[in-house]
Amino acid sequence: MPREAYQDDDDVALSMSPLIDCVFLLLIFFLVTTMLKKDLKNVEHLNLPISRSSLEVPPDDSVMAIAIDADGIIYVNGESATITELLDELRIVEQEDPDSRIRLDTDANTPFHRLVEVLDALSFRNLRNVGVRTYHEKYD
Amino acid sequence: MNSRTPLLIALLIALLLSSAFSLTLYFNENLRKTTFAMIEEVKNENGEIVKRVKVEKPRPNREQVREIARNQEIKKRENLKENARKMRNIVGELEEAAEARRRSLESPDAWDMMAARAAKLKLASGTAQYYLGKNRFLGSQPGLRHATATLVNRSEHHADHVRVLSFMEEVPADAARIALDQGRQFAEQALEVQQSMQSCYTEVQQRQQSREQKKLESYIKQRFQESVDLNDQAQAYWKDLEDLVMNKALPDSVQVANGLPPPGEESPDQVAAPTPLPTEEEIEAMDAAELYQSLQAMTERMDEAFAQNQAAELAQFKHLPLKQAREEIYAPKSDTGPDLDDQLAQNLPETPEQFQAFNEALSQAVQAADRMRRQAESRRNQAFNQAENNKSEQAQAAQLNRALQKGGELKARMAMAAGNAGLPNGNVQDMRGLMQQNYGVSGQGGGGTLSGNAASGGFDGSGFGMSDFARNNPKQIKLGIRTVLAQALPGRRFDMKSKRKGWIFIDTWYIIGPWELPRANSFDHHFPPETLVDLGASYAGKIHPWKKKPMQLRWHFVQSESLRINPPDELSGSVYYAYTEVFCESAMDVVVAVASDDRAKLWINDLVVFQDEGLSGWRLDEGFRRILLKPGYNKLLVRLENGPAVTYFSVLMCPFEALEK
Repeated sequence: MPREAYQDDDDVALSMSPLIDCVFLLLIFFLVTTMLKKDLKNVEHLNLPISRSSLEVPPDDSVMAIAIDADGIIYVNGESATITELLDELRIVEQEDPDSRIRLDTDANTPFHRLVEVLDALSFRNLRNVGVRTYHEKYD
Repeated sequence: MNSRTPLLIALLIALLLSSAFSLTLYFNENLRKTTFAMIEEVKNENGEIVKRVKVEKPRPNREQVREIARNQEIKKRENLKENARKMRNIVGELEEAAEARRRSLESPDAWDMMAARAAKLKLASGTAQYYLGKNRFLGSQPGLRHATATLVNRSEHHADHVRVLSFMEEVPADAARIALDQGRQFAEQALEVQQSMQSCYTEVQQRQQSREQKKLESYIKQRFQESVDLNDQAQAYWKDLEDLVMNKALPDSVQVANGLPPPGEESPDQVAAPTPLPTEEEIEAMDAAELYQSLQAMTERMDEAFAQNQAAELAQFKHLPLKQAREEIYAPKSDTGPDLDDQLAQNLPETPEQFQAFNEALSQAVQAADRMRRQAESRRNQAFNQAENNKSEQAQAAQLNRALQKGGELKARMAMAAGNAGLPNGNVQDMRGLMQQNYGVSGQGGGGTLSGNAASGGFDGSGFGMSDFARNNPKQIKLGIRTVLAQALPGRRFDMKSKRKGWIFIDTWYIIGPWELPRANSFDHHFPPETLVDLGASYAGKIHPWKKKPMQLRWHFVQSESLRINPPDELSGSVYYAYTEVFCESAMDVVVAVASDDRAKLWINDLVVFQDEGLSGWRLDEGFRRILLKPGYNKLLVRLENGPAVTYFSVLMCPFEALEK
């Protein structure tokens, strides 16, 4: 006659090990899935102007980031570029996808004429899906 | 109680706890932002003490670090290889074209020699006119002034005409006769100038001999001697031209230095056989550091090949010695990226810090390589003014040579048709045929898509300077200047469906200057933007009148509400350049009006379209050019020259259809 597996176990106790295992597994699951990705197109030394009316936009890798720093230097996707390079880049964007999203990051002290120059280049290349990035303490 | 119950309870509790924890995190933002960690105090870059989370990672050992480094290198090496391959092709193409151009300079035919002499006579005539304007007595002699102005006009027309002939494989008889006729008129005019100068000299000699008069006499004597020399050269030139046209041969005595040594002698410019470009196997075998070095070397070589190419083209176009052309053109220097030799050589790092330095160097190398490749592509497009798909067709040397020759001829024809010297106000020159052929020969540079109809079209060698667009082609346009001034709208994009019809003035420009205005024959002196428009570049310009230092020139973005564009840093005796682009939805037949105070030259898609003469005031109807704009972006470059006082320019465009209505 076969013996029942737990018949002789008189001292039944709650084992904590599987519990802790489960909790750790769940914790690791959340840690892994909520890993944040660094924005490679971001220009670190920009002091973005503060705005309370800005909207949160979900992050998007396909967005083209154009930044202008306080010295008027232009960055395309995080790399410094001349205005000729920017115009060439925008021409390619226009040919490939004229509706693609473009993000404009400017410093609070960026010369305004430089911003106008870049906006004019975008308008001339018929790129209309342009957003300006600002600092909002709730989102950043 | 079932024996499995404890397990089930454990599972239930675990699920309850974790779901409660998840829900709390989901609904409570503050808790989500809270971090449970060890906090340490560290000094930041400003020396302030800040608190931050202490992160302890296990330190990887040597083997692990090397493994990571190797993987990173393999990943990034592929990118470097791809860039190196592209760069090798571009350098090869540029060097091949430069060599083809140089070879064609080595064997000048009789017409090349005549074109070189005509160009020299043109320069001498221009110089004579300059000295005339410098002296009050000579400038006040209406007969002499008129004779010299006619001489300059004739010499320019003749030199342009002979230049076109020099590019032809077979010179048509009627075109040669026109050249001969022009040559005769030029020689007669040179004689007339000499006679006028002689009478001026006699008049001065007969005056009272004061100290000032003696000075004037010696000045005029010098000018008279120059006019005698010019006349002698013009007569000799005409005789030789007659011999060439009538007997199809040049006398043996005629020799023109073309700057290249006789065969067998080594040119001082010519470097020893260049080292071969890396082969496919070599590129495949290189590591990251070697690839980066090779890319840097190829970029330097590409710059040199580009400069050689531009110099050879200029030498061919203006019949200059190659060496002189090389000195005249601006040789742009490409950015070869940071020096990363030491960092990239550390490809076997031992500590995480060394790996970090190596990885950073790799990323920088990849970025720099991308930039170098992009620069090389834009230089290649500039040099050939052609799309990538023409490469394979032109691979063969003979074809390449023919295409270059053809391109040269079309450019020479354009330059001839662009001149506004001696033409009345409101004149219209039709350049569509030449532009159409040029777009056809060179494919197309820049952006946009070129539809088939703009690229096709036969070439008719006999229609000299004239296109086959004879129908509905006015020779003169009368412009209601006030109406245009009131109604012209700003813009840079042409759209056939647009409701805005009529004159559009180009309102947005990038302007650079001032450079010092050359004394005589100013358009023959080239400044950097004529070789390459780089809106990020800066150059040393004119000496500032008060600071006595060369001005540092940069491109300025200028957007004007008015039709007339004023350059920033406006100074007298200066040269400025203005660059912009115009967009067309489809190929368009457009009338362009360039007006300037004082002189202007306009290039559209690297083709000369308009060239003004003299220190004229701003007039909207100085001259009209009927041109073809290709679909997509069209590049416009204006050279503006200021004599004394103020300077401004305007470029207006109107689709021909709209003008008709």
